[in-house]
Order: sequence, then structure tokens, then C-alpha cells
Amino acid sequence: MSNPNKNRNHLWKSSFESRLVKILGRELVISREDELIAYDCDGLTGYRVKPIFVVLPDTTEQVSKIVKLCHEEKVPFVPRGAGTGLSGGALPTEEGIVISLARMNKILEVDIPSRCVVAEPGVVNAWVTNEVSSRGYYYAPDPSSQVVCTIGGNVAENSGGVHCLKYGVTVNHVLGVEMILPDGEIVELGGKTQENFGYDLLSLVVGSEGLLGIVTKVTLKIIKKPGAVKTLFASFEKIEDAGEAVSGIISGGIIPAGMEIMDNVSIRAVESTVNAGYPEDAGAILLVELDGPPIEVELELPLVEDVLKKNNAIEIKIAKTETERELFWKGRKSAFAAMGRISPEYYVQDGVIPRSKLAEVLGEIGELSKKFDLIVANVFHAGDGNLHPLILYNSKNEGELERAEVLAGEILNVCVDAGGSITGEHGVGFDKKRFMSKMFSEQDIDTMNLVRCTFDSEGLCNPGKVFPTPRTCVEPGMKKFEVHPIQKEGRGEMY
Amino acid sequence: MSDLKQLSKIVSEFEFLQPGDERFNDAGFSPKLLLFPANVEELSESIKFCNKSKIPLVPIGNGTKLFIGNPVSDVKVVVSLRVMNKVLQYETADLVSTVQCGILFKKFQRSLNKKGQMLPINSPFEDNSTMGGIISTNLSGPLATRYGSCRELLLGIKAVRADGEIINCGAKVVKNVAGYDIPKLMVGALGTLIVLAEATFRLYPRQEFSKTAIMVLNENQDINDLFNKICDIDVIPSSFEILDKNLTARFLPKVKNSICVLYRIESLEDAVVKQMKDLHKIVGKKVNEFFEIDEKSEKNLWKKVSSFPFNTKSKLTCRVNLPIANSFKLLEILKEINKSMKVKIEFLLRPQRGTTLFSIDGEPGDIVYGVNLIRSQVKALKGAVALTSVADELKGQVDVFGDFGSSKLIMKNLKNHFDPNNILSPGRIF
Ligand SMILES: Cc1cc2nc3c(=O)[nH]c(=O)nc-3n(C[C@H](O)[C@H](O)[C@H](O)COP(=O)(O)OP(=O)(O)OC[C@H]3O[C@@H](n4cnc5c(N)ncnc54)[C@H](O)[C@@H]3O)c2cc1C
Repeated sequence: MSNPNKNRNHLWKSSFESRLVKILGRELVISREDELIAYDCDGLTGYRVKPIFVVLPDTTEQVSKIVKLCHEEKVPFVPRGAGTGLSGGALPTEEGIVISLARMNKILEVDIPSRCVVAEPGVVNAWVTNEVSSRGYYYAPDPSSQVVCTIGGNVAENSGGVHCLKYGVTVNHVLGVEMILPDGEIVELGGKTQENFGYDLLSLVVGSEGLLGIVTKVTLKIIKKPGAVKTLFASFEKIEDAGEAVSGIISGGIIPAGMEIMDNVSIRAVESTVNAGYPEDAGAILLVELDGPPIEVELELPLVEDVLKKNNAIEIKIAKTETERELFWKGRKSAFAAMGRISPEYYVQDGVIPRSKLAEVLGEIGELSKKFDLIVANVFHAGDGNLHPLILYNSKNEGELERAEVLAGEILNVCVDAGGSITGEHGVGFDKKRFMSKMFSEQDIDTMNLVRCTFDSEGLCNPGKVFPTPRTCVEPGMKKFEVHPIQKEGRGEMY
Repeated sequence: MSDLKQLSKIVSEFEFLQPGDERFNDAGFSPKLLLFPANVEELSESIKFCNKSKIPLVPIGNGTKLFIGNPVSDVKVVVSLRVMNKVLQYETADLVSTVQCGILFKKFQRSLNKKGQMLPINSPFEDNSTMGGIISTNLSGPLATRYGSCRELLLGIKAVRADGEIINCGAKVVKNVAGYDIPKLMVGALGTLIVLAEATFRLYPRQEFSKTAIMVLNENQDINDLFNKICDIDVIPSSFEILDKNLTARFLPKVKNSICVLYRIESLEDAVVKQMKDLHKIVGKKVNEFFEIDEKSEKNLWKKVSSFPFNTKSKLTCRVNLPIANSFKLLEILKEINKSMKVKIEFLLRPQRGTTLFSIDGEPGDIVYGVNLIRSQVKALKGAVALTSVADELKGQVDVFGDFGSSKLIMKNLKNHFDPNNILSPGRIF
């Protein structure tokens, strides 16, 4: 996108700064170089851009005023939560500002009778459950980053978690948002109702990766904690068998709360750090969690065990205590971090495939790993076919980083060819925009642009993300290049 | 050649309607040409043509719900997806299936049931509805209590834009966050943004066993309290409905002068039996009567409930969305209006969804007054009312959707961006 701000001088900058300060007060506008560095990337640390300012508003009105100012001055702005995003969604734009929602972190209302919680966007995911847990409720979407990531970030990324197989992702648990449009206007979409009339704008905003506006308030659905939970894991010699077991459980009519697979590389990494009790020589383990009314869980457990045995499970271990259950999960949840033990660097890929293609795709990833001579560890939400291959590399070895990048892209090719998606939960952001065209045609992407232009006709809100090539807001039919009549008539040429 | 003649040449099957043809009377418009595209290419070409010539059209499935929304204006062409009616992809292990949108819900469901799976939707006109129509009208039924509405089930679409371009959005896998969720935007959009050609759904295993309990109460018993007690039990019902006195009398004639709660559990047989026992133990004494019904009556009853409010002769019907707690307040409001005004109201509350469906009958003036009164009270309770059907004599007297609030402008803009020539069901929403 062309950058209208390129030639802005110091004078402009200091006047813009003082206008921000007027809205927020001195302490909430960050302009010192050394402080700005803390905001130059998100969880995908490979890309870094320093913003011109970072602002830390406390209220919806302040956000609205800041955005109005940006709109007036044509300054791009990037909303930011905790910065744990893994696709560069909160990566600053050059000559733009970052609007951090971290200070807007209050839970505004707990409404048990209507089964919802109203929260500011900076509220950390796990706080919501903490707030309602004593009354027997919880907030279902549980990304592994839940002790840090914010509700605003979750809404923007439509985050999932290990329990989304049964309970769905963020979009299934957001009832309403208050949002600042890219021109500074405040709108409310949805509310405390489960359904709404008219166009479902809320579904567009959830998962919009911060491109449609800044969410300043979110109404979340809370649900009753299940009466019973049973967690078990089975070890397999071959990872393909674990994959078959997953299909077997689901087609047998059982939808567990979660099903996670880890391959041998991951198991060994985890065991060397947290000691979750996984057998280190297994080719793969499958972690299954059943939850629901006690009688259902009780009846389903033997059915699951049956399927596991039929698919050549070597050992099945059922957690007997809550401590043991937590340990099983701790192994899975620390898989990414544990990788740091066996490799100085790694890249987490996020792709989705149809469950039935699991064995086939894992085979192909194995081949790629050989071809590129890089270790790929597989950890994934097997129930919904969401793969997280971890590509291990060492950038000190010449060419390895580049090879890792190409390999990561090849894995996405495999996912798309298998009928899947280039991202299941981490989003497109900055990192994957070049892969959008693998999954979508020009027309498909133009249609998405219609949505973006409806909300943000000037492209100021988190520009440079999601869309593979810059797009402007002209009607799709008009945008195509046409030969000028003067050229057609041979009266002039374009150089 | 006239525009319509030319248009008809694009598709393999079409029909010119004769004057006096009554098929679209309910819908309130009189088209001249009916197109039945055989595939997405024909669909695309015909819409491209309409867009260029600025010919407004209404996309339909089987035409069972064309009365929903504002009446469309000046439409000469109807594009029916009836011929595009196949299951395109179905991998049982994935619990995902892709169909053409003209497929009958019944046919689709039958093919899933054969494999022990299902699409957990029930909606009015179940026998004749197509999947495209179900998505576009979003009249979720009793199963929404457990599975949510169609929005929760739709994963991807192939569609034709107003300019005729063919697009794919979403994906064919259960989890995907690439790009905006345009499929969900089409749920309830009444065919005003794009024309759906194919849809991919998330499926569920069919439950082994089902049982429905009926709890009978006096009209003035505290239903909210009972609701809370029921919710405390460790059961996930597939459907949970509260019927008012009038509807109880109609659907369960043996139950006299009472309201009733319908509670359905579907799971493994032993689980259902045990959970029903638990339910009875806890609420049995709090209600006047508690009984379970046999399989055949169960099926009949749920069909009637799913068809409400379209299985009534009342002049006007509505759907109300409220925060769960406030939906009980609406119950009181409706009861009061029934008593104090010269109108007859029948209603049904889906408490765990905060959805209420009601029909209202009487003198036109009273109906209009009543609905407006209900609407203003619902608004104060942070909810909204939309009309689902209106008799001819009342058309135009009550706003169909009411107030969209601060999001109205974006909705309008969205329509303008997607359909700049306003050819897709013009006037239906905007
Ligand atoms: C160790 C680790 C584990 C993870 N596990 C998971 C997982 O299991 N599942 C999963 O889905 N993700 C996971 N993630 C990714 C990440 O945590 C999620 O995407 C999370 O939702 C990001 O939240 P955040 O507050 O950090 O947002 P940020 O990274 O700050 O921002 C993410 C995006 O949201 C936008 N945004 C932030 N706030 C707002 C707002 N108020 N309004 C509008 N836009 C806004 C930003 O512009 C950006 O595009 C993991 C990340 C890490 C580091």
C-alpha cells in the first residue's frame, strides 16, 4: 500500500504527539525509542517494525478519539492485546501507531442468569473462567496461551483451544462486541442475546485479525462446568494408528472434549522437561479427554478404550486423580516450550486437514522432513485435524532458516491439497498472507475485500495484513485494468 | 429479443409464468420468469446477465418461506436452485459434508442418517425446505438448545456474487480462520448478498436414544425458578421448551388449562434413562404432572413444535431474541397482554437460547398495537423482535425488523458493496 506518511517531518510528528497526549495524558503515550522496542513484534519475533508511537488508552472514548485523530491525519493504527499472536497480526506498520488495549482489563459484569460475562478487551482469557468458576461456570475457548493472551486478541484471531473439538472456537462463544470503527464511530454488534436479526456482522468481526476496527468491550458466553471429566492417553508404535484411532472414536459417535496427538520427537522433548509419564519409546501418544454428565462419561470410556485397542494401542493410561490429569495435560501444553531443549530455534506451523487424511498427510510431512533434512516434530489437535508441525532449525547453520521457511510453506501446500486450510487458529496476519492465494482465488479475496471496505474504506486499520496484495476500496468490477479509450484508438500510449 | 427471453436461453431449464399463476401469491410478488440453473456456471451466467441489465431477482430453494422479511419490490425473475440438489462430498470419518444448496433438507438428512450421523437442525417446513433456504432464513428450531443455530454448523460455501463471479469462502474442514467468515454472514441474510450454490456443514453423530419428558404447571407457578432447578442438573438436553397455555392446549390436548415444559434428552440409552430418573427426582414434586411420552408421540410433538409459529392461522407471527434471564420477563408481558387485550397470543419459549416465538390474532388495530407494545418492552429488555409472517391486511403496518441500532449503517453499506445494483431480493432487508 502506498504510504502517504513517508514525508512527514518532525514538526508534524511532535504536533501529532501532543494531540495524543491531550487525549491520554503524558504517561500513556510512548514515544521513547527504547520503550517502543517492546512493541516492535508479537509472538512471531522474526518480523520487527518500530511504530512511531504506542498509546495505552483506558476507556472506549479515548480509543474513539485516538482513532478519529488517526483517521483525520491518515495515520495507520494497529490494535494490540498481549502480543502473543503467532502470525504477526499485531506487527506495527511503518509510520503508524500501536493502540495497546492492555490497560482496558476490567471484567465489567458477571451475569449468571443470562450466562454471560462482559469484559474489556485487555482482560486475560483465563481471568474469565477464574471469575465465574466458583459459581460452577467457565469460558470454554482455552488457547494454550490463556494465562497471557487477551480476549481482544482472541476475538481478533478467533482463537481455539484444546477443547474446541466439542465446544467450538471463540466465534461460538462471543455474544456481542462494542467496537470503534476505523473512522472513530462507536458501534455495538450483538449483545447478550444468543441470536440476532439482520446481517451477522459479529461473525465477520470475530476472526477479522484487527482489520475491521478496535474491539473495546466483549460479551462472552459462559457455560456450566461439566459434571465429570476423564482424561487418558494411549501410546502407539505408529503415529498412523493414533490417527486412525481418532477417526474411529469420532465415527463411533463419541465427540471427546479434546484429542491431541504428539509424535516421538515431541514426547521425548516433553519427557526431558516435565516428566508427564509419557512412554519415551512410543511412536506417538494420543491424549483423549471426555467430559459431560457423569453417566455419559462413564459409558463412553469403555467405548473409547475399545477403539484404542482395536487400533493397536500399546498402553492405555487413565488419570486417576486430578493431579495426574493435570500432569497429562502439562505434557501437551508444554510441548512448544520443551522444543527449546532440543533445538535452539523452531517455527510453529498451523494448518488444517480433514481428519480422514491424517495418516496420509503425516506421511508426506515425514517425506518433506527427510527431503529438507530438518527435524519436524508433530503436535496437533487431532480431533479437528489442526496440525502444528514444529520445524526445528538453527539459523547459525548456513541456509537452515531459509530451508525451514520453504519447508513450512510446503507443509501448507500439503494441507491445502488434502482439502484443508492454511490456518486453523493462528491467523493469516503478516506471515501467511502470501499463502492466501493457495486457498482462495482472486475473486474470493476480492469478496473479502468488500467486507474490509465496508468497515474501513481508507485501509487505516491494521494495513498490510491478511490480504496477499494491497487492495483498494473500489467496486470489484471497476478495479480491473482496462485499456484507456485513447490507447484503443491509437492516439496515445502508456509508458 | 427481450431481456427475459435472452436470459432464459442461459439456463437448461426455465419456465415463463402465465398471468394469473398463483404460486408466488404468498410471497407478494409476481415474477414472469423462473430459472432452474443446472450448475454453478449457469447460475453465474444468469446472474451476470441480470446484473448487467439491472434485472432484480429472488434466489429461492423450494419457495417455502418467501414471505419472510420485507416484501421484495418489482421482481420479474426467480432463480430456483431446485435442480442443484446433490450431495457432493461426504466423508463419514470427517463428520463433514458438502451439498448443493437446492437439496431438500429431508433428503440430505436421510443420507446422513444412513451412516449414523445427522445435521442437528430442525426448522419449520422440514419436509420441503432446501438447505439454501434454511441457511438464508436461519429459523433455528428446538435442537438449537444443544447444537446452536445453523451459524454454528456452516463451514464453507460456494456462491455466486451479484456481479456473477463464482466464489468460495470458508473451508471444508471443521477448523479454519483464513479470511473473513463470509459463510456465517450468509446465515439469515435472506438471499440479499450473494446466491448460495453449495454449502459445507459440520455434522454430528446421531444419538442412540431419545426421550422427552413433559412437565405440567399452573400458569402462575414460578417458571424461572423451575428453569434454574432444571439447569442445575447435570444433563445436556437436546431440546428444552416452555409452551404457554394456548399452545399446550393445541399441541397436548389432554393437558388442561396449564403450561408445560418439554425436555428432551438424547444420548446412549442407559444415560438417557438415568438422567430422566434424576430429572424426575429433582423436579417431579415441583410440578403438577411429570410424564414421559412414547416414541411416536415424541416425533409428532417435536414436529409440531418445530413448525411453530407457522402452523397457526394467526394474522401475525414473530420471533424474539432476548438475554436468557429477560426472556422470562417477556413471558409475563405476553401473558398480561393475552389477558388484558382483545388479542389471542400463543407462545413458546426456548429458555436456554432466550428465543421466544409467538403468534398474535385479533382485530388488525389491536394486533398492531400489541406488537408495537411488545417491541418497545423487548427493546427495553435489550432484545429485538422480528416479524416472521404477516397477513396481507397488516402488511406495511408493522416494521418487519424494527431497529438494527448502531449497526444499521454498516449493514446497509455491506449490502451496497456486495450488490451495488441492488438486484438480489431488493427491499427484503434494505
Ligand atoms: C505459547 C503460545 C501458545 C499459543 N496457543 C494457542 C492456541 O492454543 N490456540 C490459539 O488459537 N492460539 C494460540 N496462540 C496464539 C495467540 O495466543 C492467540 O492468537 C491469541 O488470541 C492472541 O492474543 P493476544 O492478546 O496476544 O493478541 P495480539 O497478539 O496482541 O494480537 C493478535 C491480533 O489481534 C488484534 N487485536 C488485539 N486486540 C484487539 C482489539 N481489542 N480489537 C481488535 N483487534 C485486536 C491485533 O491487531 C492482532 O491482529 C498461542 C501463542 C503462544 C505464544
